[in-house]
Amino acid sequence: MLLLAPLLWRMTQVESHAPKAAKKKPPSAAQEIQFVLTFTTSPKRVGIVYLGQAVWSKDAPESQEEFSLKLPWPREGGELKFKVEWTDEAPLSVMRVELTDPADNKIERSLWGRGSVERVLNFP
Amino acid sequence: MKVIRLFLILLTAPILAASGAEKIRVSTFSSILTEVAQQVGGDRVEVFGHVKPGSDPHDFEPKPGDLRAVANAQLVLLSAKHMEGYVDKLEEATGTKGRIIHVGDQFSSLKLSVQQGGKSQDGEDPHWWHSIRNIARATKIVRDELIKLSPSDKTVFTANAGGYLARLEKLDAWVKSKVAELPRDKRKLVTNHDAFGYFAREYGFTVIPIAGLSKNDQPGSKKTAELIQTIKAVGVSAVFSEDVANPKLIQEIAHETGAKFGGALLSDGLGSGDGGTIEGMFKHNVGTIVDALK
Ligand SMILES: [Zn+2]
Repeated sequence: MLLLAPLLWRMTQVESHAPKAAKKKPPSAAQEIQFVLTFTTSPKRVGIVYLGQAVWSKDAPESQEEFSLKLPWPREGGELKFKVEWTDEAPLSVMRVELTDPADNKIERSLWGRGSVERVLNFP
Repeated sequence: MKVIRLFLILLTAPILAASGAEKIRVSTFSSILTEVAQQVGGDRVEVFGHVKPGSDPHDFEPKPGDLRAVANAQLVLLSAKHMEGYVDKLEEATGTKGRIIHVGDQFSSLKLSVQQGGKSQDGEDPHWWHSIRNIARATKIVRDELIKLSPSDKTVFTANAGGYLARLEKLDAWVKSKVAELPRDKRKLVTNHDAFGYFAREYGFTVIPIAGLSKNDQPGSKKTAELIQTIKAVGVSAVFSEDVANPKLIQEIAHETGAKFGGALLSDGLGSGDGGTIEGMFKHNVGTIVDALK
């Protein structure tokens, strides 16, 4: 009976089971990623964590911060964890992130919060 | 005298109501739904979990004790999406008057291609609990069903569900943060059977299952050889077994492909020890996957 059970395969996996020319990928090389962070209320501190490592932080940033970082960025994109600390008195605030990836794609994300906020944002 | 009797009735009525309030009898056929029902129902429910943590829901067959519990249940929670193939018999054999809720059928399914006799037909992936968003949906369904059964407990069930949903949200944030430690091009999940589709969709993984949807769908030697080629071609650094499956085949595949054996995942529901809760299951699975593939 068990032998008669139908073999079930996920559609997307059918594609991935097909022979592929691709060989084992080397780790993604570090590439330049551009950032523009804009705050409705400037926080006490803002930091970025990528692949579990703190890659950038700034105390008392301006209402707009522009900078670039060299990060190993695969074609699939990535996730960045932002830590933003607004003062306890600050109203509900937003940080807008504009990221330009190595292929020159501009991706925008927003993070809303009060006090201390930690959130992972996806690009794309 | 009448006044005294009335006073006594008024005095004792709430006590009698509170102590005499019978618990709502809930039967669940998924260890995930057992936790959800206990968390939402609190001390207002008595939950009978038929499929125990660490057991295989694909192979589960109700025994006489299960049938007796279902016959008396006021609410029967099914994982659904075709997981409980015995559901019609269960209804017929028990004659239960309880509300039978096909929880998993109330949210969308990942579609699958089912190969049978050379033909392809549509199927559904039953492993919906690897999406925290689906567990949150199930929580709301259970809350609403309990309120229907006991409207006077609405405040309690709403508050319990609210607290539990907040914990699920926190867990989802932890998972996202942990998964973010892993580059997207390394998110390839080779597992024993095809149980992590919903997880993969939510957190950006590609799944390469060794067996099919059920652990009984083991591949033949030709399929295994193809899988080994695929795993080598896409460059997977670790492969994973499951708590309720024999790890022999996956260990062989690890040996053949040069990938390391990443450990066992909890695939078909809750496990034991730290994996005995939904939070523990996610922390175990995500921690194991991320640390092995990094
Ligand atoms: Zn399964």
